[in-house]
Amino acid sequence: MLNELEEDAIKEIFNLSLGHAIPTLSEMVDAEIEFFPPGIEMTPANHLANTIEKLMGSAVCLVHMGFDLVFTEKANITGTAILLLRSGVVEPLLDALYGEHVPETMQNHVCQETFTDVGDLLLYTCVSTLSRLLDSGLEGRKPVFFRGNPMDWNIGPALCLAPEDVPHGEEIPKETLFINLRIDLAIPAKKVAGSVLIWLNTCDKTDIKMAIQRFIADRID
Amino acid sequence: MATNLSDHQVVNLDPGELFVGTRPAEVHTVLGSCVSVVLFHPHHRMGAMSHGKLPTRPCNQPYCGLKICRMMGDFVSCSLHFMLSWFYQMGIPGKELEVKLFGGAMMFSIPNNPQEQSIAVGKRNVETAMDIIRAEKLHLIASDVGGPWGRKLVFHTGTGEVKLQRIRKTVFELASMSG
Repeated sequence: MLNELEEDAIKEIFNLSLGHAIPTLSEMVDAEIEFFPPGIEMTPANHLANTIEKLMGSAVCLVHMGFDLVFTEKANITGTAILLLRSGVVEPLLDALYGEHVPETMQNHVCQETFTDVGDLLLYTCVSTLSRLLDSGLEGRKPVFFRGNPMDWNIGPALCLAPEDVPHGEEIPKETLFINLRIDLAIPAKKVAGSVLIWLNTCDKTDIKMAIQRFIADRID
Repeated sequence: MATNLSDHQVVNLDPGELFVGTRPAEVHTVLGSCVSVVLFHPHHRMGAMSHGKLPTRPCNQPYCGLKICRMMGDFVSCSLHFMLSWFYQMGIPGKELEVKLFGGAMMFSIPNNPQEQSIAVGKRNVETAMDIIRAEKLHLIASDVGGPWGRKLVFHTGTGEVKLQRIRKTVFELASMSG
């Protein structure tokens, strides 16, 4: 769908976007964060949950935020940004965020609220920069928390698919293809690792290619 | 309070105050659980900064215009809406603004006793700012929130640059900081 130059450009855009957002998390946990070169692959909608399971195993904690990059009334790109962690790193990350050990009895209580707040700031900042680099307007949705087996995650709403595309109780249509961007990050001092993902719906293929081409042209100028 | 320097003014922003300006200024403020939202238009080089103490309050804002209340600057929601209206009246759409968010100390804290309940105000201030940023479709380009520390900010309205220095405080000092 994307040629080699366009793939490199979208990876670079994602890299710059997350680079803007990472200090937000770094300040909150008061530790240095390392992040790694971005990866890209094309993934059918019905395989997205499998890619998460393959990456992080069957127990994950994630915050996802749907967004639209709006170019004109009729041209937009729909996507989902995800902060993804193995369930096992939640407790040390909570301790880092609170600056003290969060008692086991309180962990469940504070986990959802805390990670939703953190995910909101991190993902919204990342998507804001993505939107600015692609010279679009931004419509971000409220972040949503999920903890459990990724195969049990009701992924339809997270992908912002139109209800008519996912009739109640039916499977995600496999023909819908997503650009699946990923950057892995680590907080060595807290022994925490995770990933940030951006999934872009390729139903808006023309808009994606045009936005990337504009970004490339701006850089060449 | 403002001090004249050769090429720009130095403005000290106290809790509950806000600044909007079209000429270069250096705006100073100190934050605890309060939240400062910084808005900057890179092309016109215009900037605004708030220092809200509390998240929001019920208000019947008229549809026909902008009502300026006595305690407007105290609230994150009122001050942010006012600053945005100022830009909108200048013909600047929200999507062209760079937004930065600071403060909200003790956003994450374990309440051990009733005295610490008030600390959650930092979290509510940040959430309120984020709700408006999202609703107004603004671009948030940087933030430094939470943590058990205060923050000293200097915002250069001519460049959009914000210098931030952390101030280490104890939990109770932060809870009692008016900013």
